[in-house]
Amino acid sequence: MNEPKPVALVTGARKGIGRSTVGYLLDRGYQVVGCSRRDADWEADGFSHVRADVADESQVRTLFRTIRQRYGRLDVAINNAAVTSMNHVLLTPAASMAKMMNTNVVGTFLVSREAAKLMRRRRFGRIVNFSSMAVPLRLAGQSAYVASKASVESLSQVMAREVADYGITVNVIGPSPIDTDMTRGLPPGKLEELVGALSIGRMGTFADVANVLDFFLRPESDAVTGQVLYLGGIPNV
Amino acid sequence: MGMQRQELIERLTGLLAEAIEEESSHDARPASPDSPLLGSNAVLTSLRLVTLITDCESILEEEYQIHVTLVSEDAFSRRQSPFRTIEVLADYIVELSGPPGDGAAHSAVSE
Repeated sequence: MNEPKPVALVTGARKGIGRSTVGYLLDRGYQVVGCSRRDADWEADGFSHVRADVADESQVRTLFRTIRQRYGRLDVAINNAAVTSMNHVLLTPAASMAKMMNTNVVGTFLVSREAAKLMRRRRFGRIVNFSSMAVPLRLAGQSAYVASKASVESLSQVMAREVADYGITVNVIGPSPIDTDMTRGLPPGKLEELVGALSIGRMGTFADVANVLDFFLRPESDAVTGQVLYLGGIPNV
Repeated sequence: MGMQRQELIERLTGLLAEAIEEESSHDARPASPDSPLLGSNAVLTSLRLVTLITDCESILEEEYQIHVTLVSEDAFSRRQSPFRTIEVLADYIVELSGPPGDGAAHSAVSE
């Protein structure tokens, strides 16, 4: 009897990097559950979408109940859902900070926690969280976003230690700017400035991300955990 | 499906016995409803206790359709921890699941 297909969860799956990640995982034989705050307006074989706000604990628990009942396992969780906005720190409303911390940090925490509970049964799991090159660049104008993503990195590194005994790895990828709604929302000239600050002076592509996912997800990477990998040649400072 | 308090204690004590066995200490103590789960006399390591609590949540959800969050601000702020012993934990679960019809997490445990 064939081994059941592995199961992956992708948050923020409706568009952008999340949607590309779903396609990447489907191509590699995963059954993929995606979640977003709004319904997905597309379908794919092997893909199902659950409407959920990752910052809402009860919705996240319901999401995982669905995965548990439908598949009974989870092999991979990709925490891609995030929000951002650019503002000088003196003009950043507290509500913006709270929103970014809720979605980017609390959301990553809730999904990672529930994922680890499910993954530990099979003593295998791969959690990949998204940070940003804005963190090592200390990007001016993104204090709230950078603070939230730096928190994601620290959360991931501590969690990596705490779930290692369950055979679960937790790693972080920090992509260089990729053409998505998020980067399209940057003020004129900002994107060129960002790319100019990279050692690899070009926009990122999803293929760059997929290459890192390949590394983090493969079974042989069971000793790779708590790592933050930036794309684009960002110096670790 | 409903669950009696005594049945819950027996189920959780079984879980505790498995956890102690998995630690495979040669001087492992037997599992009982009043075995200390916290403190210097605890029968489990702190990591095993984390696993036990997580397993407990899963069993409640999957076998009894009781959807409760055992680890909460409320649990941590109590003067006495609800994770002291299996018996105390069972009482806490009974409390969380609430009497029938009160709109609590799920009405499935009776005393």
